[in-house]
Amino acid sequence: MQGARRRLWHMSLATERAGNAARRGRWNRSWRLIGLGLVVVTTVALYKRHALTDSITSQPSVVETPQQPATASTSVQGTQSPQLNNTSSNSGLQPNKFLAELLDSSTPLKARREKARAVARLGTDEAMATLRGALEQGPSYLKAAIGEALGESAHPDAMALMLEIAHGTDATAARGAIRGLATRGGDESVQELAKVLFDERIDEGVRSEAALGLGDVHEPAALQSLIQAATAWPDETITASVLEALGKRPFAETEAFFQTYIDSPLLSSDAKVAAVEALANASTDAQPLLLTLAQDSAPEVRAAAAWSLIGSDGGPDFSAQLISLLKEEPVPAVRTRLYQALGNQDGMDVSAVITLAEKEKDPGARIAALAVLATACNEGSSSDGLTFFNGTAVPELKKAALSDPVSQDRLASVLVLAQAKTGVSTAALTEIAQAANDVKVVQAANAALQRR
Amino acid sequence: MKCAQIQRWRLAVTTNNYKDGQKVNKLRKLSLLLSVAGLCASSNVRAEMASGTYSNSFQNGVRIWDVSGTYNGGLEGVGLNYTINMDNTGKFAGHGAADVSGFVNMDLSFWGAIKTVSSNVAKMTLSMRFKGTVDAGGTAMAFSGLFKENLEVDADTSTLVGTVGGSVHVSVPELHRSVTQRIPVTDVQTPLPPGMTGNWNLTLNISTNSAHYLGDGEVTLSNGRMVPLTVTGAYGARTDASRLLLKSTGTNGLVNLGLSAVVENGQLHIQKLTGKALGQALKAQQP
Repeated sequence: MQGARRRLWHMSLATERAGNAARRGRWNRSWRLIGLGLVVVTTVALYKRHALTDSITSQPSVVETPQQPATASTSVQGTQSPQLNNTSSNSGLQPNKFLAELLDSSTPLKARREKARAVARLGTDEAMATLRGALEQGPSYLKAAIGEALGESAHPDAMALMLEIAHGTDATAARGAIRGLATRGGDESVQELAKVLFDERIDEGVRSEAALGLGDVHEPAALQSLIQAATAWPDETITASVLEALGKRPFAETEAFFQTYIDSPLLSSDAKVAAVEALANASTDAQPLLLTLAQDSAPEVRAAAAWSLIGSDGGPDFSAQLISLLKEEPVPAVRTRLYQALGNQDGMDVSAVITLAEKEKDPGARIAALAVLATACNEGSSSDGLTFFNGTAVPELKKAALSDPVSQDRLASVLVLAQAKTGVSTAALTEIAQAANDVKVVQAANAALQRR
Repeated sequence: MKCAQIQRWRLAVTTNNYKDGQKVNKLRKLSLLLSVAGLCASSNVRAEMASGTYSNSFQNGVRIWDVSGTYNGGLEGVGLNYTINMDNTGKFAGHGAADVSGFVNMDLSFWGAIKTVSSNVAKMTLSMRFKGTVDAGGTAMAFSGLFKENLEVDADTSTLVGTVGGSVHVSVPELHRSVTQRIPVTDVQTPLPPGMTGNWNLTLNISTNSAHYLGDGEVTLSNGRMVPLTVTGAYGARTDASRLLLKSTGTNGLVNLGLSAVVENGQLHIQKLTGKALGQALKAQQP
């Protein structure tokens, strides 16, 4: 009896071990897969990092015009010329070599900006000397990258150098340094950013950048400065940047401000639209407010709300609400935006969209409706959608791509055909690529055919 | 003696005053004549009321950007491929493709806008979301990601310069495993589509009705995009300047500009220009 029990116990132990091994196997397999995924992800990241010197079709790569050596207009006037030597330092940086590379105008600007960032992140004395040299002689966008990267530098002089660039005469470089201050964060940075924002003698572009920077700094003082600016200047060019910055902050912090601001009866239409569009940067928490604003009495506010919903991701699907809004919306420009928002939703009722598309008479809104159906065809989510698209939409879009008098509509038609990826739409694109007279249309059709 | 000196001095002053008074009167007469002559002369160089066709080129000053075009990025079979079709408000939304060495083909949806943050700085934001699945040994693996590019238009090189950052999410639903990876901020430089320099031409056909203007015209961008306009306005006799309001009529671009100008010798000399074109705020004033 005891022997039988022991055998049974051994059997159960073996079964458990086998189960554990199987679970471990599944566990390992899952992490292997995720590891594989990360390889892909990293490849994408590296691609973005190293290869996204995006080239426009049939356009040569960009080589920047060499810049004159340091002049009175450089942003680091008074900066002492760095005493560089060519010996390796503790950081392994060879200042003269790196400076020469940063200033080599035959190297694409993007590569030099990346190098400047890498040098700035080192935070050593040699790195700072190299950067000072580049700031004296480099082109504006290189200086901007340096200013920005100094925000990540641990060197004790980094803050002072950023401020020097931020208050210099090169506005492009100054905007970079302002971004650096925002990256650095902290009380001192917030104070400096606010100082720039409210100093009306400073270039408007630099002040706008300061506003945007304050949106990235998670300090209560930054929020206060932005609210103060939005209230003080309800109708200036810079206000849009202030509102955009507020939109970037956690919605819980800004919800009350936005509601009060948008409801303000004295606010201009432009400022109201800027405020609503700023919510495109907010989290999914802003979706309910945006859906409410999509029913506002002013069409431009409704359009802005729909636009801000395009990027909403991660929250609950709101395609049903968008379809309801589309059924009631009288203004074609607003419907166009609602269709664009709907196109990024996964759970849409395709048959309802077909009904809407069939009724749509405005050319712009109709193309937008067909674009939603093209997305559905691409995802293979509806046979009705496929039938409608191939039978009705493709001939219409092909005709528009070849003969619509408005160039943007011709291009839009090609893009919708490209999105559908059905056999019929591919055949139409082939014909368009051969028959169209519009270069942009031909390029777009060929690009779509290549990615099939 | 002293008294006599004072009397002579007083006399001299009186004489001088008398002489000065004569001079002043003469000067007054002269200045009156000159001002009349000036008025006559100035009426010869007075600005005209606008009438006819006028063409103005905006080169390297106030710029309008259209980023519509097909964009490709490629390295060893890895690529993002998308076509931007910027609408009349400077916004764009669309779909493209992303593939990684033929291993993963992903649908790419993107949206963004170009706008001016000051009279000489145009910024473009481009958000890209991609998603796709790949079959890895019978197990579906889902990818999704969100990138955001913050770019500035570098007018000198006709490129977009800025940074990109974002995050990528990978999941294996069958095994309930997922991971999110943040993509660090990195540099981006992208050439603008061929022909896009930001320069533009304004053509106006103006007819007069008393002191009022009516007409049409067009804004033509450097890439050939044309926005038809209606023109209204008035001539101000007091200021000797013409004020014109230009509004787009078609669906090819939203333009709403106000300008004040002086017309001389058949030329429209624009003194001030403010408003919006394709979502971009334009502001220019002659110093």
